[in-house]
Amino acid sequence: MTDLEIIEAIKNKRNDKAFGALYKNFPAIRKMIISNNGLKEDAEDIFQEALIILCSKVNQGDFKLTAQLGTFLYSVSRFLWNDELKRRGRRNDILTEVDLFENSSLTEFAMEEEHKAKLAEKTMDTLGERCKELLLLFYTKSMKLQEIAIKMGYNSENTAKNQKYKCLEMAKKNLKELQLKQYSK
Amino acid sequence: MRQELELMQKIEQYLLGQMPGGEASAFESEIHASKELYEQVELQKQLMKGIQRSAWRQDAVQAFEKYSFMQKLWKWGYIGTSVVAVVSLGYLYTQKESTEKKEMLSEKVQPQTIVNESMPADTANIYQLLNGNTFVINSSRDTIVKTKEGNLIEIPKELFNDTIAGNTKDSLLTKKGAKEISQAKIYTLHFYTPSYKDSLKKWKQSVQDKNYSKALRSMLSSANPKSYLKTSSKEQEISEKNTGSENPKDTMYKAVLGLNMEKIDNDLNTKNSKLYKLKGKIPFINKTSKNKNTILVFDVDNKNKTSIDTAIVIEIVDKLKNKSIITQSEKK
Repeated sequence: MTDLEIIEAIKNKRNDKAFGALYKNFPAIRKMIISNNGLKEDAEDIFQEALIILCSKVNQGDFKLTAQLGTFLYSVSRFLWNDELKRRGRRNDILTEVDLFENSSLTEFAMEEEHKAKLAEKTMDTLGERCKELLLLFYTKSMKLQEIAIKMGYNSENTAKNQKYKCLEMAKKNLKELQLKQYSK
Repeated sequence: MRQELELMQKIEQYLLGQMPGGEASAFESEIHASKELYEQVELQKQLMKGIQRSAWRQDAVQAFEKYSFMQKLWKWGYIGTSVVAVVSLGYLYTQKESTEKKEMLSEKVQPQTIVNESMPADTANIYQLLNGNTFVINSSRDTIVKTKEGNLIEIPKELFNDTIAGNTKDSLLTKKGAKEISQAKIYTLHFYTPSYKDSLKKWKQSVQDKNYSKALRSMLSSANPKSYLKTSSKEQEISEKNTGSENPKDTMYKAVLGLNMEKIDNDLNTKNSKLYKLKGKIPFINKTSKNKNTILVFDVDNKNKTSIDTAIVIEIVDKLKNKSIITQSEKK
C-alpha cells in the first residue's frame, strides 16, 4: 500500500487495512524507544498513540502529506516518548532541534490537546460494557438507533435513544471528575 | 425525556452540525452567554473525541495482535525443528510401552513432522485466527501435533483416507478397543472447501465483530458442536449439505464423526500437557476437490465450550497422489 492509499483507507474507516500496513514501521520505533530507557510495552503504547494521532489528523482534514507516513509516525512517536519521559521525571531530552525543525506538524501538535483527548478516551473505560458498546455503535459505526435496539435487545428505538443519552450523561459526569482529579494534582 | 437529556440532544445536534443554521447561531450566542452551558458543550465535545479514539484504539490493538501473531509465526518456523524432536520422544514412549524406555531413546525412529507451511491466500485469514493451531500433515506419516494449550495429539498415518465411496460405515468404525480409552469424547470434524466464499464471508464478519463462537458456528454451518458432544457418542453421522451456492461444486461438506481420542499415559503428561491419540479411520469426502482437505478438530479437555482458541486445524496434503495409502476396501 502506498501512503496515499493508506490515508484513503483511514478516511474510509478501513483502519484494519491501514494499520496492518503501517505496522511495518513499528520495529524502528520500538528500537528507538528501547534504546531510550523504554520497555517493549512502552513502545507498543506509544506506537498505538501515534496511529491514533494520525487518524485524528486525517479525519480532521488538516493532514497534509509532506513527509512519508513512516517518518511522520517516527517523529510523533519520538515526541510522545519524550513527553512521557518528562512525565516520569527523567531529564533526558531525546528531541533534537533538528527534530523540531524538520517536522512542523510536531510543533503544532499540541500536547495539551492530546492529554485532554486521552482523558476523554479513558472515560469510556469507566462506563459499563453495554454503555460503551452503545456509544461506539452509534457514534463511530454510524449505526441507526433502530438497528442498535435490535442488536442490543432494547424494546424500542426510543429506549435505545434514552439509554444512549443516559450513558452520555454518565460519561460526562465521569469525565468531569477525571478532569478535576487531573487538575488538582 | 428529562430536561437534561434534551439539552444533551441539542448540544449533540449542534456539535454534529445537524442544527438548522438560524437555530445554530442562536444556540451559539446562548453558549457564549452562559458559562455553565459552555462547559457542558466542551465536555460533550471532548467526549465525542474520546469515543472516536476508543474505537481507533480497538483497531490499533487488533492490528497489533495480528502483527505480533505474524511475528510469532516466523519464530515458530525457526523453533519448529526442536519441537519435532521433543514430540518424537513422546511418540517413542507411547509406541513401545512394554519395552524399556532407555533403550527406546537410543533407537532411531523416523521423525514425525509438524509443518507450518504458508497457506493459500484465501484461507490465510482463517489460519491466522486460529492462533497458530494449524498444522499441515502428510497423511502417509505418523504425526504428532502440539496445540497452543500444550496438548499433544497423535495422528497415526492413514488415519485420513479416501475410502468413503460405498463404505461409509465401515470406515467409521472407531469403537474398537474402546475400553482402553480413558477419555472417549466425540469431536466434530469439518471438511471445508476453501473456495466456499459465503462461509468465509460470514466467518470473517463474525471475527471482525470479535464474536468467535459465532465465527466457529458459521464455519460449521448449521452444526452446533455442543449438541454433538452429547448425542453422537454412539452414532456417527455424515451429512452433506449444499448450501445453495450458485456453483454446485462449491459445496461444503460436513461430517460429524465419532472419533475416539485416547489419552495416553506418558512421561510427557504434565498438568498442562497431555498426549492424545486420534483413532479410527476418517474418510475424505470431497475427494474430487482440488483443494486441500482441511479438518477442524476441537481440542481436548474442553468440556463446556467450544471456542476458536481450542480448535486446531489439520490440513492433509497429497492424499490422492500418495499411493501408499491402503484403502479400507483393499484391506478386505
